[in-house]
Amino acid sequence: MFDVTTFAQLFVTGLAMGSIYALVALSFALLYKAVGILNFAVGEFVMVPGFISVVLLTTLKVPFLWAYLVTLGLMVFFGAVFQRTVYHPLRGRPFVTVLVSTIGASLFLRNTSLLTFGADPRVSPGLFTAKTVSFFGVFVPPQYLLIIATLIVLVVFQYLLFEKTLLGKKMQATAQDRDMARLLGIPVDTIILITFIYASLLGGISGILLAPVFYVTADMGFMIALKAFASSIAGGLGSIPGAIVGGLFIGVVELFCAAYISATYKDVFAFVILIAVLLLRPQGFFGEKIAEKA
Amino acid sequence: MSRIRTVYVLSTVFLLFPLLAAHGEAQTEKSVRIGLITEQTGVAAPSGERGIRATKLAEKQLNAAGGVNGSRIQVITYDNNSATQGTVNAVNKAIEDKVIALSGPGRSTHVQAVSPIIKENAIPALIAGTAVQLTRQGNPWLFRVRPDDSINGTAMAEFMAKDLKLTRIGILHDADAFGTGGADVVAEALKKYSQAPVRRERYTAGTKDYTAQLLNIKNAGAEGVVLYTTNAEDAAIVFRQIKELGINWKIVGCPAALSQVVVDLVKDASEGAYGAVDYFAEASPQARVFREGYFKEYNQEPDFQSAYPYDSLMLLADVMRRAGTTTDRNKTRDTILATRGYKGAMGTFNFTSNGDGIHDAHLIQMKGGKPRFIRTISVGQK
Amino acid sequence: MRVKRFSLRILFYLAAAIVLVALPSLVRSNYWLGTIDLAIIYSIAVLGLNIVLGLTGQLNIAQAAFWGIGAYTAALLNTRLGWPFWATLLAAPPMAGAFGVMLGFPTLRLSGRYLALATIGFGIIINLILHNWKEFTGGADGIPGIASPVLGPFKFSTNASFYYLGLACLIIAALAQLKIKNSRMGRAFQAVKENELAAELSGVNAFKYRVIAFALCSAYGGLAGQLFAHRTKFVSAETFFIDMSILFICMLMIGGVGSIAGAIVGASLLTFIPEWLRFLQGPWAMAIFGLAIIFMMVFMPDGLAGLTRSIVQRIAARINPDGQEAAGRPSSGRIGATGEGK
Repeated sequence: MFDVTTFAQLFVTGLAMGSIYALVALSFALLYKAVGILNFAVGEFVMVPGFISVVLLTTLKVPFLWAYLVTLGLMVFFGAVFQRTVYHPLRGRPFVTVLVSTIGASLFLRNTSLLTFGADPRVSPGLFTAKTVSFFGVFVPPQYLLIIATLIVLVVFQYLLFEKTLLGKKMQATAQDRDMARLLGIPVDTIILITFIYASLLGGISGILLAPVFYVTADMGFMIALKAFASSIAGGLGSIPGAIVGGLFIGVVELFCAAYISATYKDVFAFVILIAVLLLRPQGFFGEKIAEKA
Repeated sequence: MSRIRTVYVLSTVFLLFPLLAAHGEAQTEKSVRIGLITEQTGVAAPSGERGIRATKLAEKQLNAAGGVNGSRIQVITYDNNSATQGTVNAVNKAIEDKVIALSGPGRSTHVQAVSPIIKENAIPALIAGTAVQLTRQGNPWLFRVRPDDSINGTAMAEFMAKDLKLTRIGILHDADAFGTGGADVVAEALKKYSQAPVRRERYTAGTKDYTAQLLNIKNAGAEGVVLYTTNAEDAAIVFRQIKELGINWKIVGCPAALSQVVVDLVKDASEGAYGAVDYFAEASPQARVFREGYFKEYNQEPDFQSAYPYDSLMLLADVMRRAGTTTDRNKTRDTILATRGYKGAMGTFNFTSNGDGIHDAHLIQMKGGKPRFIRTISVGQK
Repeated sequence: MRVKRFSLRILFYLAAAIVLVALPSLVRSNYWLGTIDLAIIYSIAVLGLNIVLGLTGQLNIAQAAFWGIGAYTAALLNTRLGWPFWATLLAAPPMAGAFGVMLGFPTLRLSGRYLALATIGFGIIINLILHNWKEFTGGADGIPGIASPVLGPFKFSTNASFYYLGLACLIIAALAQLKIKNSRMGRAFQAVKENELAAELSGVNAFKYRVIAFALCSAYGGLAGQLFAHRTKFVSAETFFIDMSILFICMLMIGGVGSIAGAIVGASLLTFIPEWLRFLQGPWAMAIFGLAIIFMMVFMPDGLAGLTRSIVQRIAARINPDGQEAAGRPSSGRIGATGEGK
């Protein structure tokens, strides 16, 4: 039980799950950083593209590349609509108001999804026909490798976006100090819209990656959102690298705890970590020191 | 002062609401109303939907054949939102709407929650929760239309020990009442063969990954595993991950593990797996007829989640015909308990005095995406 | 003027009292009485939330966990030790309150968003423990067979009789909160919410008052749980999950944060609406509900209480343009800014 193969197996699977958590946590953290909101509908950001990709690939039999592009395109639209309806009218209001609004959005999305796509869980065909690849006794479904690879690519892309492009720098500036950004002539409202769209796209990528291996149901977003919260906190709320590290950390640790401590309580570990982090080091791995005020 | 006044205005206006709503619904005369308590929303919506379809089919067929004792059957669906409290609300509403019988609830914790209400209102309920104690708590109005966990679990244990000749068996089960109850029954039944499970692992519903549990069972040296899963997508992921981890177990699943939804999701990952099922299309002529009717209507392969609601309505109609009444509940109750040899899609109903109707489990094996019949195991009292 | 206003008030009190007492005879439907009972129970839980969110401005997304702790405490004491309703009534709120302190102590130093997430974690952990600790909590099977309240020869086993019990508890809970609000403690809560630094400088220990508010909030939740357990006679962990905590928050926001009447109205409304919408099958009702929540947040940030307040003020101003009605501060869109009044 404590052999290398088991360890490695757990580690690889944990990384794959953790990558999904990381992507979703990233979406969550971005919106927190940019506009200070806790987006409780972040799970639906994953569920909706999951269903869209399933329908495109199975019912409409669209080829892979087109299906993915269309899904992401629709997520751009989704992000924009979400920003305009759920956030924009409430900008400037206390965060609890916006939070409740995202809860309403989540409820709406879950149930319209139920009405549109039906209640049965769906699976989309994966890119790979091979079921598993095996390295030294460790079995890895190729989709897991794709998930991890996508995360790496995305991290690099995002780094380049934020640090090397003008758009990225504007997004950062808006996130840091909105008023200052406005004074500098940055079109703040547009940048916020773009941030929402980007967060929506992250959800879209997660949904597309998840659908072949973890199935899509109308209620799947809930647990995913909770894990995203935990990951974000662990890494440091509002920290972009923190979201990624937090996600991977939680993905791996919860699996190890499930294997060696208790599988039933697997979900508990993520939240125990969350609380432990909050108590011992609230800024998480990467966050700045937070002021102790309400 | 204006503030306090607003309070009064608000509260008085709003206290009127329940009064407005308290007027009962219009009664449709000459129709026999049956309340279907089921999941239209929430996590169990997939299974609920199949039950609704089946019940509507039965309603259609019954009314086309003239109804019951001259009256139309009217099925009213009550959504419980897959929740316990929702089930309480649903049952209360159904009773309010003066249904003469209930079909459902289908989950053990839901049944448990509404058992006092059903007993108090003396309304017959055809339930499908499989926790054994449901019909042993002194509620004379619960009638079970599925084999309870002791039957399926015992059959599965017997099959693994006698037919498959396995000696090292692991159990993976959902942490809820259904999964835990089933696992307990299997563990208990294995004692008869001087065995104990080499490893028991559980998970909370909605878990996306089972690597930890599966590895633990594997490392304990299991040659076969019993799956007691409640939700379709959990079972589907388990099948897939067993395959992905390259594990070569003989798998025996509970009825929910090999439901049609699961099979559709995993396709060949369930190949070769065995299962105890309540409903099997080739097990009897009635099962076959039901399947044809359902498939023709909905272009979907039915499984037990459609079969038992179908049987519930059909059985009720048959009972009311035999009792000669639709309104006398005590007579209905006695007639149900006196039912012997009623052939439904689920199998042959022989009710015992505590209200259990079905005592058979069918063992099948998945071959080529379709279940192949092995044998039927009858368990317990007759 | 004063006499007229005075007697108008008496009239309102009288009318309300008559309606409340006669309610079960007016609402003959057992089903609706059951829904009213549930609304009362939820109202108590949401009132608790009002102390933390409305008075001290902290977000607690674990109220369902305290509700559950109260319910399980009552269930266990009743079924295992035979404690009657009146005994569990005294035991459940303090038990829940203790858990509230347990959660609050380490976490209330954190800022709002962090606290919110910590409460989420706590709620999930409690739920999973209740669900899985089979030996103690009955695990997934739950705990059936909880007894109805009994007073001498009289058994509160119907929805109608339980209504009176629940109503009494609700009235006491609401009056207690009114008292707290207008007391020194209430003012301390307010101070901590408005400007923590100033409060500290004035000698108010912000942390201490936050913990007290949290303990009160969870105690209210525990009371609601105890009533719930004795009414439904069965508890199972799946009821006490984070989606209920979220629902409680929605109830408070829609009713009007900071307002006692708002808490009750919000809780009751969100209990009735799903039942009213029953004719709209399943997902339609829930989807509309979701939209309605967004809508209300956008157009009624102070909830129904705030909306009613501004309507009544406008009417009052028209009736009495010269005199000043008891000045209500205009709604400024901040949570709890206009938290006075009932």
